[in-house]
Amino acid sequence: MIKKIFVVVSLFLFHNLVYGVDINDALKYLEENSLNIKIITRVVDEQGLTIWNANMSKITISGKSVKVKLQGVNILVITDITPYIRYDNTILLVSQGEVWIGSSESDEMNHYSTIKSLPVSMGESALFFPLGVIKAVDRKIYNIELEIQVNPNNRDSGE
Amino acid sequence: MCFDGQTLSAFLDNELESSKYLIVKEHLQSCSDCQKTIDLLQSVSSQVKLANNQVESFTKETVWTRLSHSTSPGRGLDFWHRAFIISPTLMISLSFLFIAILGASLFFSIFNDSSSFPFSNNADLSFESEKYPLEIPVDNVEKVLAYFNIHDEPLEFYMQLPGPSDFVIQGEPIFLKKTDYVAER
Repeated sequence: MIKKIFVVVSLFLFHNLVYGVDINDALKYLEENSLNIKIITRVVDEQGLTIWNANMSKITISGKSVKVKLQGVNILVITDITPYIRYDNTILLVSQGEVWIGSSESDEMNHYSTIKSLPVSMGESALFFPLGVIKAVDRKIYNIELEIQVNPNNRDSGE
Repeated sequence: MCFDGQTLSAFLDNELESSKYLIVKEHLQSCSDCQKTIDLLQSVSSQVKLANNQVESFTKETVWTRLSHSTSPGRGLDFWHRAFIISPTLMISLSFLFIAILGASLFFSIFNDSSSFPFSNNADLSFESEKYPLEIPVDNVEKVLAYFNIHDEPLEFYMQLPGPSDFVIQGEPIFLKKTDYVAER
Protein backbone atom coordinates (compact mmCIF):
# COMPACT_ATOMS: atom_id res chain seq x y z
CA MET A 1 0.00 0.00 0.00
CA ILE A 2 2.81 2.40 0.93
CA LYS A 3 4.61 1.41 -2.23
CA LYS A 4 1.62 2.27 -4.42
CA ILE A 5 1.20 5.62 -2.76
CA PHE A 6 4.91 6.33 -3.22
CA VAL A 7 4.73 5.56 -6.95
CA VAL A 8 1.68 7.76 -7.44
CA VAL A 9 3.26 10.64 -5.54
CA SER A 10 6.47 10.32 -7.55
CA LEU A 11 4.54 10.54 -10.81
CA PHE A 12 2.71 13.62 -9.51
CA LEU A 13 5.95 15.30 -8.50
CA PHE A 14 7.46 14.85 -11.92
CA HIS A 15 4.26 15.68 -13.79
CA ASN A 16 5.60 18.90 -15.27
CA LEU A 17 8.73 17.25 -16.51
CA VAL A 18 6.71 14.58 -18.29
CA TYR A 19 3.95 16.76 -19.77
CA GLY A 20 5.49 20.23 -19.91
CA VAL A 21 5.74 22.14 -23.18
CA ASP A 22 8.94 23.90 -24.03
CA ILE A 23 8.53 27.60 -24.83
CA ASN A 24 10.94 27.25 -27.70
CA ASP A 25 8.72 24.55 -29.17
CA ALA A 26 5.73 26.91 -28.95
CA LEU A 27 7.69 29.68 -30.67
CA LYS A 28 8.90 27.34 -33.32
CA TYR A 29 5.33 26.16 -33.91
CA LEU A 30 4.23 29.76 -34.41
CA GLU A 31 7.12 30.47 -36.70
CA GLU A 32 6.38 27.48 -38.88
CA ASN A 33 2.60 27.81 -39.01
CA SER A 34 1.78 31.51 -39.02
CA LEU A 35 0.75 33.14 -42.28
CA ASN A 36 1.02 36.63 -43.64
CA ILE A 37 -2.05 37.75 -45.59
CA LYS A 38 -1.54 40.70 -47.86
CA ILE A 39 -4.70 42.35 -49.19
CA ILE A 40 -4.72 45.08 -51.79
CA THR A 41 -8.07 46.75 -52.15
CA ARG A 42 -8.71 48.59 -55.39
CA VAL A 43 -11.48 50.69 -56.78
CA VAL A 44 -11.46 50.43 -60.54
CA ASP A 45 -13.52 52.18 -63.14
CA GLU A 46 -15.37 50.68 -66.05
CA GLN A 47 -12.21 50.66 -68.10
CA GLY A 48 -10.32 48.72 -65.50
CA LEU A 49 -8.16 51.59 -64.40
CA THR A 50 -7.32 51.75 -60.73
CA ILE A 51 -8.45 55.00 -59.23
CA TRP A 52 -7.85 54.14 -55.60
CA ASN A 53 -6.09 51.42 -53.71
CA ALA A 54 -5.09 50.53 -50.17
CA ASN A 55 -2.67 47.90 -48.88
CA MET A 56 -2.81 45.97 -45.70
CA SER A 57 -1.18 42.90 -44.29
CA LYS A 58 -2.07 40.83 -41.31
CA ILE A 59 -0.46 37.89 -39.56
CA THR A 60 -2.72 35.03 -38.78
CA ILE A 61 -2.77 31.27 -38.51
CA SER A 62 -4.60 28.58 -40.41
CA GLY A 63 -8.32 28.87 -39.71
CA LYS A 64 -8.21 32.38 -38.32
CA SER A 65 -9.99 34.91 -40.54
CA VAL A 66 -9.00 38.40 -41.53
CA LYS A 67 -11.86 40.84 -41.99
CA VAL A 68 -11.87 43.78 -44.37
CA LYS A 69 -14.57 46.44 -44.05
CA LEU A 70 -15.03 48.86 -46.87
CA GLN A 71 -17.44 51.69 -46.33
CA GLY A 72 -18.60 54.11 -48.97
CA VAL A 73 -21.40 56.62 -49.29
CA ASN A 74 -23.97 54.09 -50.36
CA ILE A 75 -22.15 50.86 -49.85
CA LEU A 76 -20.70 48.68 -47.15
CA VAL A 77 -18.65 45.64 -48.02
CA ILE A 78 -17.46 43.21 -45.38
CA THR A 79 -15.14 40.49 -46.53
CA ASP A 80 -13.90 37.66 -44.30
CA ILE A 81 -10.89 35.85 -45.67
CA THR A 82 -9.84 32.63 -43.98
CA PRO A 83 -6.74 30.71 -45.02
CA TYR A 84 -6.45 27.01 -44.36
CA ILE A 85 -3.16 25.18 -44.78
CA ARG A 86 -3.70 21.94 -46.63
CA TYR A 87 -1.79 18.69 -46.33
CA ASP A 88 0.33 19.51 -49.40
CA ASN A 89 1.25 22.96 -48.02
CA THR A 90 -1.08 24.78 -50.39
CA ILE A 91 -3.68 27.18 -49.10
CA LEU A 92 -7.43 26.93 -49.30
CA LEU A 93 -8.77 30.46 -49.24
CA VAL A 94 -12.33 30.87 -48.11
CA SER A 95 -13.84 34.24 -48.80
CA GLN A 96 -17.14 35.30 -47.32
CA GLY A 97 -18.51 38.56 -48.62
CA GLU A 98 -21.45 40.65 -47.51
CA VAL A 99 -22.59 43.72 -49.35
CA TRP A 100 -25.08 46.33 -48.22
CA ILE A 101 -25.76 48.64 -51.11
CA GLY A 102 -28.18 51.49 -51.33
CA SER A 103 -29.77 53.07 -54.30
CA SER A 104 -29.04 56.70 -55.05
CA GLU A 105 -32.60 57.20 -56.32
CA SER A 106 -34.45 55.70 -53.35
CA ASP A 107 -33.97 54.80 -49.72
CA GLU A 108 -33.85 51.12 -50.59
CA MET A 109 -31.02 49.08 -49.14
CA ASN A 110 -30.14 45.70 -50.54
CA HIS A 111 -28.10 42.99 -48.90
CA TYR A 112 -26.09 40.33 -50.69
CA SER A 113 -23.91 37.62 -49.29
CA THR A 114 -21.70 34.99 -50.76
CA ILE A 115 -19.08 32.46 -49.78
CA LYS A 116 -16.41 31.24 -52.14
CA SER A 117 -13.38 29.04 -51.78
CA LEU A 118 -10.30 28.77 -53.89
CA PRO A 119 -7.17 26.62 -53.57
CA VAL A 120 -3.99 28.58 -54.19
CA SER A 121 -0.30 28.06 -53.69
CA MET A 122 1.79 30.01 -51.23
CA GLY A 123 2.45 33.44 -52.71
CA GLU A 124 -0.08 33.07 -55.49
CA SER A 125 -2.50 35.98 -55.86
CA ALA A 126 -6.25 35.61 -55.92
CA LEU A 127 -8.85 38.21 -56.84
CA PHE A 128 -12.18 38.66 -55.15
CA PHE A 129 -14.87 40.82 -56.70
CA PRO A 130 -17.62 41.27 -54.11
CA LEU A 131 -19.76 43.23 -56.59
CA GLY A 132 -19.01 41.03 -59.55
CA VAL A 133 -17.06 41.99 -62.66
CA ILE A 134 -17.88 45.05 -64.77
CA LYS A 135 -19.20 44.15 -68.17
CA ALA A 136 -19.19 46.60 -71.02
CA VAL A 137 -21.14 49.66 -69.95
CA ASP A 138 -21.62 53.07 -71.34
CA ARG A 139 -21.64 55.00 -68.12
CA LYS A 140 -19.22 55.70 -65.40
CA ILE A 141 -19.36 53.13 -62.64
CA TYR A 142 -16.88 51.76 -60.23
CA ASN A 143 -16.05 48.35 -58.99
CA ILE A 144 -14.22 46.93 -56.02
CA GLU A 145 -11.61 44.23 -56.24
CA LEU A 146 -9.49 42.66 -53.55
CA GLU A 147 -6.21 41.04 -54.38
CA ILE A 148 -5.27 38.47 -51.74
CA GLN A 149 -1.90 36.89 -51.30
CA VAL A 150 -0.89 34.44 -48.58
CA ASN A 151 2.70 33.81 -47.64
CA PRO A 152 4.36 32.00 -44.80
CA ASN A 153 5.25 34.49 -42.13
CA ASN A 154 8.98 34.65 -42.63
CA ARG A 155 10.67 37.68 -41.19
CA ASP A 156 13.61 37.19 -43.52
CA SER A 157 11.47 37.59 -46.62
CA GLY A 158 10.69 41.24 -46.03
CA GLU A 159 8.09 43.20 -48.02
CA MET B 1 -19.02 -73.01 16.01
CA CYS B 2 -17.52 -69.72 14.81
CA PHE B 3 -16.02 -67.20 17.14
CA ASP B 4 -16.95 -63.51 17.26
CA GLY B 5 -14.72 -60.72 16.05
CA GLN B 6 -13.62 -59.75 19.53
CA THR B 7 -12.38 -63.27 20.28
CA LEU B 8 -10.58 -63.45 16.96
CA SER B 9 -9.01 -60.04 17.55
CA ALA B 10 -7.86 -61.16 21.01
CA PHE B 11 -6.46 -64.33 19.37
CA LEU B 12 -4.54 -62.20 16.92
CA ASP B 13 -3.15 -60.07 19.73
CA ASN B 14 -2.23 -63.17 21.86
CA GLU B 15 -4.55 -62.09 24.61
CA LEU B 16 -6.48 -65.36 25.00
CA GLU B 17 -5.88 -67.96 27.65
CA SER B 18 -3.72 -70.80 26.45
CA SER B 19 -6.56 -73.37 26.44
CA LYS B 20 -8.91 -71.12 24.52
CA TYR B 21 -6.06 -70.04 22.22
CA LEU B 22 -5.59 -73.70 21.21
CA ILE B 23 -9.31 -74.18 20.61
CA VAL B 24 -9.49 -71.10 18.34
CA LYS B 25 -6.36 -72.12 16.55
CA GLU B 26 -7.75 -75.58 15.87
CA HIS B 27 -11.04 -74.02 14.69
CA LEU B 28 -9.28 -71.71 12.25
CA GLN B 29 -7.75 -74.64 10.47
CA SER B 30 -11.18 -75.82 9.41
CA CYS B 31 -13.25 -72.63 9.24
CA SER B 32 -12.68 -70.42 6.20
CA ASP B 33 -14.98 -67.64 7.44
CA CYS B 34 -13.06 -67.17 10.65
CA GLN B 35 -9.82 -67.35 8.68
CA LYS B 36 -11.05 -64.57 6.41
CA THR B 37 -11.92 -62.52 9.44
CA ILE B 38 -8.46 -63.12 10.89
CA ASP B 39 -6.87 -62.11 7.55
CA LEU B 40 -8.90 -58.92 7.47
CA LEU B 41 -7.93 -58.06 11.01
CA GLN B 42 -4.28 -58.67 10.16
CA SER B 43 -4.37 -56.37 7.10
CA VAL B 44 -6.01 -53.59 9.10
CA SER B 45 -3.45 -53.99 11.82
CA SER B 46 -0.56 -53.81 9.35
CA GLN B 47 -2.03 -50.66 7.67
CA VAL B 48 -2.31 -48.97 11.04
CA LYS B 49 1.27 -49.83 11.88
CA LEU B 50 2.42 -48.50 8.51
CA ALA B 51 0.57 -45.24 9.02
CA ASN B 52 2.02 -44.87 12.45
CA ASN B 53 5.52 -45.24 11.06
CA GLN B 54 4.92 -42.54 8.45
CA VAL B 55 3.69 -39.87 10.84
CA GLU B 56 6.46 -37.43 11.62
CA SER B 57 6.71 -35.49 14.70
CA PHE B 58 5.95 -31.91 13.64
CA THR B 59 8.51 -30.00 15.53
CA LYS B 60 9.27 -26.37 14.99
CA GLU B 61 12.33 -27.20 12.92
CA THR B 62 10.50 -29.53 10.55
CA VAL B 63 7.77 -26.96 9.94
CA TRP B 64 10.30 -24.22 9.15
CA THR B 65 12.22 -26.52 6.84
CA ARG B 66 9.08 -27.36 4.91
CA LEU B 67 8.14 -23.69 4.57
CA SER B 68 11.57 -22.69 3.33
CA HIS B 69 11.56 -25.50 0.77
CA SER B 70 8.11 -24.51 -0.55
CA THR B 71 9.48 -21.25 -2.03
CA SER B 72 11.84 -22.15 -4.84
CA PRO B 73 14.82 -19.79 -5.23
CA GLY B 74 14.19 -18.82 -8.83
CA ARG B 75 10.57 -17.69 -8.51
CA GLY B 76 10.67 -14.55 -6.37
CA LEU B 77 7.83 -12.19 -5.57
CA ASP B 78 6.53 -9.59 -7.96
CA PHE B 79 7.09 -5.88 -7.34
CA TRP B 80 3.84 -5.18 -5.56
CA HIS B 81 4.24 -8.06 -3.08
CA ARG B 82 7.76 -7.43 -1.99
CA ALA B 83 8.47 -5.89 1.31
CA PHE B 84 9.17 -2.18 0.88
CA ILE B 85 10.35 -0.41 3.94
CA ILE B 86 10.62 3.38 4.06
CA SER B 87 12.37 4.72 7.04
CA PRO B 88 10.58 7.50 8.94
CA THR B 89 13.37 9.95 8.08
CA LEU B 90 13.00 9.27 4.35
CA MET B 91 9.23 9.56 4.62
CA ILE B 92 9.45 12.93 6.34
CA SER B 93 11.99 14.20 3.76
CA LEU B 94 9.79 13.16 0.86
CA SER B 95 6.78 14.80 2.44
CA PHE B 96 8.60 18.13 2.82
CA LEU B 97 9.87 17.91 -0.75
CA PHE B 98 6.36 17.27 -2.04
CA ILE B 99 4.94 20.22 -0.09
CA ALA B 100 7.73 22.50 -1.33
CA ILE B 101 7.20 21.60 -4.98
CA LEU B 102 3.43 21.93 -4.67
CA GLY B 103 3.77 25.32 -3.02
CA ALA B 104 6.20 26.57 -5.65
CA SER B 105 3.85 25.47 -8.44
CA LEU B 106 0.92 27.26 -6.84
CA PHE B 107 3.02 30.38 -6.21
CA PHE B 108 4.14 30.68 -9.82
CA SER B 109 0.72 29.91 -11.24
CA ILE B 110 -0.93 32.64 -9.18
CA PHE B 111 1.62 35.37 -9.72
CA ASN B 112 2.51 34.66 -13.31
CA ASP B 113 -0.21 36.27 -15.42
CA SER B 114 0.31 34.62 -18.79
CA SER B 115 -2.46 36.48 -20.54
CA SER B 116 -0.42 39.66 -20.64
CA PHE B 117 2.97 38.05 -20.87
CA PRO B 118 4.99 40.13 -23.28
CA PHE B 119 7.89 38.97 -25.27
CA SER B 120 11.24 40.07 -24.08
CA ASN B 121 12.54 43.33 -25.45
CA ASN B 122 14.30 41.32 -28.08
CA ALA B 123 12.51 42.34 -31.26
CA ASP B 124 13.34 39.05 -32.96
CA LEU B 125 10.87 37.29 -30.72
CA SER B 126 7.88 39.49 -31.56
CA PHE B 127 5.38 38.74 -34.25
CA GLU B 128 4.19 41.96 -35.83
CA SER B 129 1.97 42.87 -38.66
CA GLU B 130 2.67 46.07 -40.50
CA LYS B 131 0.78 48.25 -38.08
CA TYR B 132 -0.56 46.06 -35.31
CA PRO B 133 2.01 44.50 -32.97
CA LEU B 134 0.80 41.43 -31.14
CA GLU B 135 1.75 40.19 -27.70
CA ILE B 136 1.34 36.48 -27.59
CA PRO B 137 1.47 34.27 -24.49
CA VAL B 138 3.81 31.46 -25.37
CA ASP B 139 4.11 29.31 -22.31
CA ASN B 140 2.28 26.64 -24.20
CA VAL B 141 0.90 26.08 -27.66
CA GLU B 142 -2.71 25.70 -26.52
CA LYS B 143 -2.67 29.17 -24.97
CA VAL B 144 -1.25 30.65 -28.14
CA LEU B 145 -4.04 29.19 -30.24
CA ALA B 146 -6.64 30.23 -27.67
CA TYR B 147 -5.19 33.75 -27.79
CA PHE B 148 -5.87 34.01 -31.48
CA ASN B 149 -9.42 32.83 -30.93
CA ILE B 150 -10.48 35.01 -28.04
CA HIS B 151 -8.31 38.08 -28.20
CA ASP B 152 -10.30 41.26 -27.98
CA GLU B 153 -8.82 42.91 -31.01
CA PRO B 154 -10.24 41.29 -34.15
CA LEU B 155 -8.05 40.84 -37.17
CA GLU B 156 -9.93 43.35 -39.23
CA PHE B 157 -9.11 46.35 -41.27
CA TYR B 158 -11.40 49.25 -41.99
CA MET B 159 -11.16 51.39 -45.08
CA GLN B 160 -13.15 54.38 -46.12
CA LEU B 161 -13.91 54.27 -49.81
CA PRO B 162 -13.55 57.46 -51.81
CA GLY B 163 -16.84 59.08 -52.41
CA PRO B 164 -19.19 59.90 -53.70
CA SER B 165 -18.83 56.88 -55.94
CA ASP B 166 -21.42 54.98 -57.81
CA PHE B 167 -21.12 51.35 -56.98
CA VAL B 168 -23.49 48.93 -58.61
CA ILE B 169 -23.89 45.20 -58.25
CA GLN B 170 -22.51 43.85 -61.49
CA GLY B 171 -23.40 40.25 -60.98
CA GLU B 172 -22.48 37.30 -58.88
CA PRO B 173 -19.30 37.76 -56.78
CA ILE B 174 -16.27 36.16 -58.35
CA PHE B 175 -13.27 34.59 -56.69
CA LEU B 176 -10.49 33.41 -58.98
CA LYS B 177 -6.75 33.28 -59.36
CA LYS B 178 -5.16 36.42 -60.70
CA THR B 179 -3.47 34.50 -63.50
CA ASP B 180 -6.82 33.11 -64.62
CA TYR B 181 -8.41 36.59 -64.57
CA VAL B 182 -5.62 38.13 -66.59
CA ALA B 183 -5.81 35.33 -69.13
CA GLU B 184 -9.55 35.85 -69.54
CA ARG B 185 -9.11 39.54 -70.14
